[in-house]
Amino acid sequence: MNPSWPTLLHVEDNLGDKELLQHACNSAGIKCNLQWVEDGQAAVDYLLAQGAFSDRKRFPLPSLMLLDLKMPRKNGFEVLQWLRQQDQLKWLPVVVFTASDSSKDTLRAFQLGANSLLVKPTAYRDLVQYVRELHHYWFELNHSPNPLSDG
Amino acid sequence: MAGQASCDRFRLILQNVRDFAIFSADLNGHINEWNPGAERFFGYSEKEILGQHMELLYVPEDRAAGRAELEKAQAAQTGYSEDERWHLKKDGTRFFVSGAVNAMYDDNGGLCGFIKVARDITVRKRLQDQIAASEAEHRLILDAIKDFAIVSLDLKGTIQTWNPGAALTYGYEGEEIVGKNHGLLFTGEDQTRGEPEKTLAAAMQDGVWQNEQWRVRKDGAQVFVIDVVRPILNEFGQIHALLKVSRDITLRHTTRLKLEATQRELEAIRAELEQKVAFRTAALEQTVQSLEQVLYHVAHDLRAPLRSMEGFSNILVQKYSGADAEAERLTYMISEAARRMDHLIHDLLTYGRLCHEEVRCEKVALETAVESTLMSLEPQVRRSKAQVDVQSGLPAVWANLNVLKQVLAQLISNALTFVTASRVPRLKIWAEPRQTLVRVWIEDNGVGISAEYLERIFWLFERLSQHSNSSTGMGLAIARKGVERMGGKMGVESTPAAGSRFWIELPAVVEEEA
Repeated sequence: MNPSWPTLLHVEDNLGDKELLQHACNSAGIKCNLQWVEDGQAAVDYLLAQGAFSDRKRFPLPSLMLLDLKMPRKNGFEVLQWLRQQDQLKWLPVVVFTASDSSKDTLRAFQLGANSLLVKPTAYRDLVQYVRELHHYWFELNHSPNPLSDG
Repeated sequence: MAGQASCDRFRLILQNVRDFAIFSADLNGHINEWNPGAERFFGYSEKEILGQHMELLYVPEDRAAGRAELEKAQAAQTGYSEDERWHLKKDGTRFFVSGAVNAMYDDNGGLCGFIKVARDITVRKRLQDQIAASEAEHRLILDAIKDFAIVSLDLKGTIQTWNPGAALTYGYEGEEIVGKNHGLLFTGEDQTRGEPEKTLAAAMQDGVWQNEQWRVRKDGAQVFVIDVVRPILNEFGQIHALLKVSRDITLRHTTRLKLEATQRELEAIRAELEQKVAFRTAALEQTVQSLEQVLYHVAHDLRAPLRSMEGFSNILVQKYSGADAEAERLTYMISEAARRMDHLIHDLLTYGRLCHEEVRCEKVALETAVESTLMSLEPQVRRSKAQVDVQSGLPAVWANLNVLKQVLAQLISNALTFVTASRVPRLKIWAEPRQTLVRVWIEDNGVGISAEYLERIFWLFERLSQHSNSSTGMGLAIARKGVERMGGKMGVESTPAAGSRFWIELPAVVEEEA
């Protein structure tokens, strides 16, 4: 954990995908703290610093959320809907990361406030490339608000 | 002298009556008095006829029958004899006469002669004969009409005449029904309602009454008739009878009733069918919906383990095998397998979506569609060093841009893939109008397809070539489905080892005048 690095919250119920992303981040050599939760409810708890996630030092507020759609307990749509109603959190950029390329799901995700949507690539090579691009765009080019330092 | 005066007056009258022939004869029948009326009718002058026997004036057949004598005898016996008969003129022609022979008596009351007063009624006779003939003719016609019941009624509805058509229609003979009321032909119900009287009253009031109703035959069977009742006027314009003409249309009516019943039945069946169709459509929609669900889950869940297979085998090689070429090759095989399966899932999904999703068509510039398809295939085109020749000024077609691009990409990609290794791929794309359609040709110089496979290549999961290890065998099936969903057709002509010409036909766009 490097406190000067931004935090990326990965919300993903599939353990294979979770681990692949960790490896891809390592391979890409990007500078960020990768945090992972197993479903939508856990994501809500993390963002509110509730329960197991009450320690903000160990579980810092992320600069970007990578959100799967189909998950138990609370799915990605529900998380989006909830998030955009939270005055303290609704600024958080969300990239939906899903296996579905259905236009219905895409439309709904954006309607609920997603900032971007990526379809999970099958080739690992592509995944590494995606992570590199994500980091480059969201953490290097993009200007996000920093609620901790600003307020 | 008074006798002489009256005698003169009588003579004066005789001389002046011109419309009656008046002459007298003695007891033997010799004419002794002849007035100008007689001369006018018979043609004989007084001078010519006086003294002649009155038989001269009779037609030969009456003369032979002794009619003159009979007439005299009758008059002698009763003082008077009257009849109507043909008489003979001087010129031999006949005329019809209404006449009377009176006996004449002398002062002592003894019979002294006869006087005949006659009137020419030939014209009336001819008219009467004509009327009689015409009546007979009408009777004949009425008797000949079998299809219509023609019945005359008095004002109370009593049957006066009854033609054979009526006998056929109702089963009664004239003699058993003439004199009875026409009400007995009506059904009991209609009789209770006063229908027999109402029809006559309506005919008298309105000039005609017409309706289609059930009637009852003598044998109790019902017969459906179309009835027309009209009043008959006398010479003073007063209604003195009614004429009722009826036609038996039972067959037509029952046929119509059956037809209506059949139509109602058909309508019921149709409604039932519609309900069934609606029900099945709903069921089908549910099936399609659950199929969509299945597709969604296939897309989502089936791919997750693939990503793991592919990803972890890659990581394995990177982290632990170092420069082990065999480990790298095996990892590559796993990656390839995963990639192929991913393709397969992708194509299955595409095909499934093309089958059940709505394909909206609009005016699409073919040129733009071809250009942007070629652009997306640019790496493949570059790799294969292909020459691509696109006809300029391609027309607009009625299509869905995305589906059309998908179809074109499949065909172009195939053309670039299935080529003989030694040959530079050459592609020609052009279009030709065909009535309301546009046919787009995509010609290659590739391996070609032998005749027995020309149709098979469009089937799902068909693969022909060793080149197609990487193919899912769905590309052309997807392309054809796409074209069909846009209302078009797709086919191919080919010469093995020389090349293939694929074509797609899409509806042309009719340019509206600005």
